[in-house]
Amino acid sequence: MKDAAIEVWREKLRSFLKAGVDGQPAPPPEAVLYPVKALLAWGARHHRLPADAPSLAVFYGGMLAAARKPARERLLEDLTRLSGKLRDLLAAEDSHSPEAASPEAVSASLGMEAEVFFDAAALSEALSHSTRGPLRMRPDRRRRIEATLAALEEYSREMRMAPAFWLFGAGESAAGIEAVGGRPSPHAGVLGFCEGLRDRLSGLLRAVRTARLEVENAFDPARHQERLEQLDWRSATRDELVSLPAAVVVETPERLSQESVGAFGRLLRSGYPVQILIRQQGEDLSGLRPDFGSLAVAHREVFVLQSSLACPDHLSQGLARMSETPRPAVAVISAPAQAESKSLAWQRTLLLYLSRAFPLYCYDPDRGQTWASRFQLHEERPEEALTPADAAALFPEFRCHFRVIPESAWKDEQVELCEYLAPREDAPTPRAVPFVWVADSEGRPERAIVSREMVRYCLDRLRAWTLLEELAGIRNEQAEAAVAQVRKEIEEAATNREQAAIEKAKREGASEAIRRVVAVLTGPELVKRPAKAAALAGQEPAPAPQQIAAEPAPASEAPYIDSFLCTSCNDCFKINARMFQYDANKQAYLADRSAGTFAELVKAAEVCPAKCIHPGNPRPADTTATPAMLARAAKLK
Amino acid sequence: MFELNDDWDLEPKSRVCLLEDYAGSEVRWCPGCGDHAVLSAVQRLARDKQLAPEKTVVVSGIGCSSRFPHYMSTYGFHGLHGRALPVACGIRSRRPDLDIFVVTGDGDCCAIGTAHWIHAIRYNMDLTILLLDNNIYGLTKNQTSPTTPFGWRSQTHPRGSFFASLNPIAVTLGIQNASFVAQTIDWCPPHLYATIRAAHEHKGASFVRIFQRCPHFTEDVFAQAREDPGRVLLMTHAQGIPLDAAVLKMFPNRAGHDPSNLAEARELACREDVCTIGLFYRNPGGSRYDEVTAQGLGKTPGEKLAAIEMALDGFMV
Repeated sequence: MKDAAIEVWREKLRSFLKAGVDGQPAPPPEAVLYPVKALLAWGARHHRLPADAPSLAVFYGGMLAAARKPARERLLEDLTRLSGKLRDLLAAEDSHSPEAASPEAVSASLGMEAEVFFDAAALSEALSHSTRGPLRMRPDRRRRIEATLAALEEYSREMRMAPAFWLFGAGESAAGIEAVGGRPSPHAGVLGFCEGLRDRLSGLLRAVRTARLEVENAFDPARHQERLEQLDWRSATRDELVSLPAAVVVETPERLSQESVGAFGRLLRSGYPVQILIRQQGEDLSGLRPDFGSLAVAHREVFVLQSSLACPDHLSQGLARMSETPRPAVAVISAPAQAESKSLAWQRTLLLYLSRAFPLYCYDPDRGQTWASRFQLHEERPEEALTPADAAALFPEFRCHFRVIPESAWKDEQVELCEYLAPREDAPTPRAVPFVWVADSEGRPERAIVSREMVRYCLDRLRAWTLLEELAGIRNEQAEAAVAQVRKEIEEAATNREQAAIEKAKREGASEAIRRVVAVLTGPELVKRPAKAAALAGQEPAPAPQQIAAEPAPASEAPYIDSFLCTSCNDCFKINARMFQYDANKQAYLADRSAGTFAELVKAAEVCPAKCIHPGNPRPADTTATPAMLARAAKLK
Repeated sequence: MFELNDDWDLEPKSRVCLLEDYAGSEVRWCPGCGDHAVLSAVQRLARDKQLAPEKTVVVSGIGCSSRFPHYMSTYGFHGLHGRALPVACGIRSRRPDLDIFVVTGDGDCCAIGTAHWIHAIRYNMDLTILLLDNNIYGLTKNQTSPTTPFGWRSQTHPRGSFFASLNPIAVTLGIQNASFVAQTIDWCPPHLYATIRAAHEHKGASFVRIFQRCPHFTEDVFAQAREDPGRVLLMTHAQGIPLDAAVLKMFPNRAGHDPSNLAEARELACREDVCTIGLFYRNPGGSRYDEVTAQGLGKTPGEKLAAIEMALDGFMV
């Protein structure tokens, strides 16, 4: 059910995004709104959703609600079950109260028709005289159960009323969605809101743990009370965390960098499962805008997705994974500006990631302990070598960084930007001028010289890409050095082995030659191969180790008991409870030989049904060891 | 955060029960009685399997052996004569979470309780049924029971019993849907323990007949088998009762028997020349009535009320 729901969402998201990429007209609002309606049915009643601009946030909210619904239902079921069990406990206790034995209560429990056959008053009288009723519940336990039950019911009601997710955002970034926090900076609002939710979660966990212990009749105030008071939201299981309504924050890089970088960091450090969507439009040449993806990755235990609307498969897969994580999660999504001509805006977005100006990756701490398992870089190589400048050329605000030169001014010292940027040992020649190819209005290729700022921007983006590649294990310098080292060692070892083999062959060859010469000269019977030949010639075999005849074990003199055969019948106890005692398996063993006489041992051995007592020989000073007793003992042997 | 279970100490089960935790009131069976061996085997099993005392029930009828529940520090039901099995079936029908032992004797099970015995085997509910068979009514001091050997003198038959004795194993093997039938002896505790353990692990009605000496009245009935291990036939098989080599060595007279072979089991059960011990028959696939009776247990009071309302609505005109 869960998978099917997610798949439906994923497909809808994919088709919606693909329609935008291909420059197709967007699907009619009614078709797009279908999942939004489903979302409303799941309880997101607090938000006024725009009918004309179904935003990514709403789509993501739908995925989130679908992915988390099963866990939420399981928790609600658990709450209902525990409440029922606690109510049963209270009902059982009530049935033991004196009031439950009143004539009215007896009459009510008998039912109307039973009055004909039974006298409720007499039964009540008989019940009230009973002195051997069950133990009553202690008052503190009753109070605790009542308080836990009330808390469980309240949380249960609250969870049913709560929306599938809370959406925080303001202005255009939230695509017209009303902010729940109603504060200008969503992060400040979310932080306060999450702290509130966190306290509620701790209370819920406390109630659930107490209820489980009470239901199992295992609550021990001395052991559990203090621990329960210390319990906080970090003790929540994965299921419990994802079953709470998620807080989704929609932000823009501009507002984040200007107003709430600090709050952003605090939110990620808090560990609360908040989901932040950063919708990034266009590019920033100034270098002033922080790289929010890397910033979030630096928090180590945060799920980070950097993706683009122009790569819908990567985006939808990443968002599906993000919807399942119980950690704080950040998605930085490159998107076309809404107001501009559609196809141009989509081309820019596409070029930004193809030119590696905006790398796509996913960092998922749940995947493992190492970079290799956590970090996946999405790599797509276009046929033409693209530079970030090729993408920037499409932005009107960066037009000033390009100057188209007439063909008459083309010179050899002009180098294409991708070549100019290619890493090389020697520095680029000072006279080289980088350019990119652009097309004029008739489609003819033209050279556009790029500015120093644009080159710096391109270098910065490419250096950033190289670092990401290394983290993702592509062209990792240290790994390559290690591989080279190992290869060298293997080759050296192989060479050494070869040399040794040649030397050995030479030595053996020489000695074999000498042996043959000697054999020819002296006759074969006089010369024998050292070891193998000796065996073949039938020499006397090495003497076998002398077999030592096993001496019979001396007969045991001391008395003993085969404890594992004891039937715990108490017969030997009756004879001497100090000499015979039970072990941890409640089977007899000889605890104190000196506590009893030989005669007692013999009698115990005679009556033992399992015949597991062996009296042995008497001790020297034992006067009970009469000839008759010795004869009885001998029979037992 | 998710890798650590930092509230493990809030989990309900964190205790260890020792043998003493299963010991109830002072045992008042005669010294030398075989019941002691069965009691300590059951207590050892409970300790080894860490059965929660409050989740364990011992149900019995009337007789020497039926004092068993008093000596276990668990829940117990010392009930009506011959009615241990219906009570146990009633408990099992709505409490799949409990471990239930039924302790009954040759009088309790094979005389007054015979009808219940036959149907309890047929229902195949998950019960460990221990028939402590001392071949005599011991509690009432020496009267002939259904399993007393032919010709055995007792107070009711001073000139010897007139009847061929009942063979509980042969009877049980003749009941449809029997799923676990074994026989053991009280004077070999390792075999007794291993048999009860296998019976407890079997899901379904496990019927174990235990040859149990009465030191006062039937000491001699089992004397031959007890003195001469050659008169005991031990059934062995990979699917049978698992035994140590030391125990196997105690019984020179052994026969391989596949516990899924019902016809051979019936033949072996009817042999009178030896005392046959081991697992006669096991059928893990038998239908269990408690799987039906325990349906709908997880329902909340609200759901139960709703179900009743719906059923009642069906009668509305």
